[in-house]
Amino acid sequence: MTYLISTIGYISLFFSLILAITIFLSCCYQFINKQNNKVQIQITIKYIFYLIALLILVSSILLFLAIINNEFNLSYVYGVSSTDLELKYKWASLYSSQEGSLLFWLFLLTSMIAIFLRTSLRVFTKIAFHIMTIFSAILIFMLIPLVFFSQPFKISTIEQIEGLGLNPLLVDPAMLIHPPILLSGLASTVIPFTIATSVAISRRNNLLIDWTLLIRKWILLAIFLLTLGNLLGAWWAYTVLGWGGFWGWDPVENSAVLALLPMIALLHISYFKNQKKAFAHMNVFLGSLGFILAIFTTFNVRSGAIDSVHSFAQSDTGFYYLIYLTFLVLLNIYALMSISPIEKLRIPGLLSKESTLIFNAFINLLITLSIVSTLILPIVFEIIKQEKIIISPSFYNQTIGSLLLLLIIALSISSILPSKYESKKKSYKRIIYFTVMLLPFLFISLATNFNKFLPIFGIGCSIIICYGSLYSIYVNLLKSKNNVKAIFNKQASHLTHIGVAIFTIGAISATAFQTHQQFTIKPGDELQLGEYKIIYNSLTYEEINKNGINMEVNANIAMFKKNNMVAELAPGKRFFTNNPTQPVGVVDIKRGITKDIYLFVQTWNEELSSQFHIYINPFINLLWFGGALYLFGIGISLVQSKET
Amino acid sequence: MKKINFYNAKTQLILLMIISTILFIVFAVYSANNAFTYYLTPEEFIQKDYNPNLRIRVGGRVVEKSIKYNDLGITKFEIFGENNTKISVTHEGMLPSLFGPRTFIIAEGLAISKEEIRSKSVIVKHENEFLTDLEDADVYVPDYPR
Repeated sequence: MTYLISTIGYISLFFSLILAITIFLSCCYQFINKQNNKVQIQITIKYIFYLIALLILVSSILLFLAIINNEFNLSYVYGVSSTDLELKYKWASLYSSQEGSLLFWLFLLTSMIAIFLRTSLRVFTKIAFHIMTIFSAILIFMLIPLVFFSQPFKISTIEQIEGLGLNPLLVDPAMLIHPPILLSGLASTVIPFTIATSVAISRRNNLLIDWTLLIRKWILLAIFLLTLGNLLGAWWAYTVLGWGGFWGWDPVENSAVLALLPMIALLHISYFKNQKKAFAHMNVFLGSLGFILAIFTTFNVRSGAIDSVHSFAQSDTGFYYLIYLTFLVLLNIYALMSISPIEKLRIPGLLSKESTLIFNAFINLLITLSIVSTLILPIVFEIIKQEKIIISPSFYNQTIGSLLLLLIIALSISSILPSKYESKKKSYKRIIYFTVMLLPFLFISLATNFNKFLPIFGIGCSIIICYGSLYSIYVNLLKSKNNVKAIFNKQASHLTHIGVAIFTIGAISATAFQTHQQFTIKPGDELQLGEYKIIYNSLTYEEINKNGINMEVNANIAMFKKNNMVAELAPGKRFFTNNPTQPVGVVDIKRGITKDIYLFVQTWNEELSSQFHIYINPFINLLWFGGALYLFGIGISLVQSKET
Repeated sequence: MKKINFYNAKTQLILLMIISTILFIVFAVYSANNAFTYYLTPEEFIQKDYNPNLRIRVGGRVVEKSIKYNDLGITKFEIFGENNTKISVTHEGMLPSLFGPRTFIIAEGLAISKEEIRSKSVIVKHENEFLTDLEDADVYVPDYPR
């Protein structure tokens, strides 16, 4: 069975590569012979793309079957699975390591391409050959590692009857959906990249103006998936890693968010309906940047060039992805050079919606470039000075934090400005309102001796965003006069902005106002910790014997406030059969509207005296709620998108 | 030469962007003073001149049976590098999941002697095919039949 799976799986990948090369060469032939408008050939190539998608699907299913059937003679399966692994975690094994995740990503990529060709190519028939050439080149680059040096179907030279099991940190329900969603988001950026590049290279001015509208659904889909993927990643970090936070500015976390930022900027720029020609270069640049950064992310995660806690899969494929990245960047530069200057930008006033949209897109871009710089800098430093440097999270908190604050200020000003610019005087009037609304937060800051001025200021701006957006919804509802379609028509963007504001309040509260205490206590003893009385009842263990977990040890804690029990928590540690010296913390959280009580047990000694860390995270659940509202707004926009 | 019209909204916006960028770069350079840390192996750490003010990260594997916890939340352990050179780490604060003997960790902090650092942050490098034996486990488990 192993040999059958291995042979069919490998042949599917190899045949896909041959087909992708064939498409690329035939498209080039069409260009050379200036026959790039032949519809019949376009249709044939389209079907070959479907065949590639089918073959990659077959490969992915075969690898999953091998994991389910415990085919440990396949090197990949041996490294990521074991017989006691539940089916749901066998799903996680599929993409938990290098070869599997590359195959899974390719599966998502080919699926996106096939869906695009099936549903949206009809709008771009005049540049279909450009699109298909770029798609085929991308597929060739993605298939080469899987066929030659990162083979998921490689057979082990030693007979294996048991696997090593899944990485202990990945044995968590969030891992069943976080990587697939994030990878889907990264894969979906291939559509804006290909269309932006094709439109620019083909020099078709009519498409250059409208392409962002024609693929608006794909841009929204990329934003939706990347946001959801990152939110799930933050949820996983919060509930598993045990340090009480949701974002650690780890290089891989930073890389994961990179592709999202240009997509958001592109969406905002594409609202300039009357001046699209003025943004031709910017649109092509932003449209391409998402996918370039997705490949940059892959380079970061795979190369081992950066030190990250998330480098689950490292190999020597880094150099290969550097070549791939160079190809994409050069293609983008060529595309940008192909666009001739079309129109100059006109802005009605500095305090207009247009200005704030451009400024927000600019800040998004500045954040993106800053993060990219911080990821590249250690590599450049090592090459030049032969010394390794690492950038601390404090740097990101200060620099990216200040840019995010600037973004929130611009968004809050934008939310109270009239949708149509009238006069300077009216705009200044709104700015005076804005300043007056911020005064209460200034007084609150004063009460804290300005120790927390910036966080309070950020929360103030976020509340203004909520107010401005709710007011706009109210005005739209009045205008719509019971027309249900009209009621929903313009509300999505306001909902997303309210979501961003609520998310920001949650993020600021849980970061700037978090309290942390460490204490050591024996079972049976009690301790007064601020307003809470803590009783340590017992330390118990339970044999699990599934999913690689040998046993779980839990510390049972009861927390009282004014003699009323507020929480019963059981943080602990999981000990894995294959990694008994590397226990994984089990966090327990008492969730509440105003705060989370987050408890983590560090260790215990032979007298069972145990060391705990307790975090109080105020309003952290607003972060998840805001994120969900943001996604709901994007979802509505996605459903409402008329084109393609 | 064309005269710049500072009353033009587009000019004002471009100026705002330029000023924001310059301020950001200045702020980033200022913040970088305390944020860039040298990454060293235990061998490189010992060879480097002792500088108590230099913020560093040292990466190595935790020496078996070297981990000592105390009630104040301070953990002492040793790490070793490729040539088996050992240095001591005194860590204050939380230790992440997967921390244990032979785990590859990166400790960030200040040097307190030529062979010891005091850290406030420890991260564990995830290794996909890292295996240890049950007898290596130095964590006491209550009533666990060994």
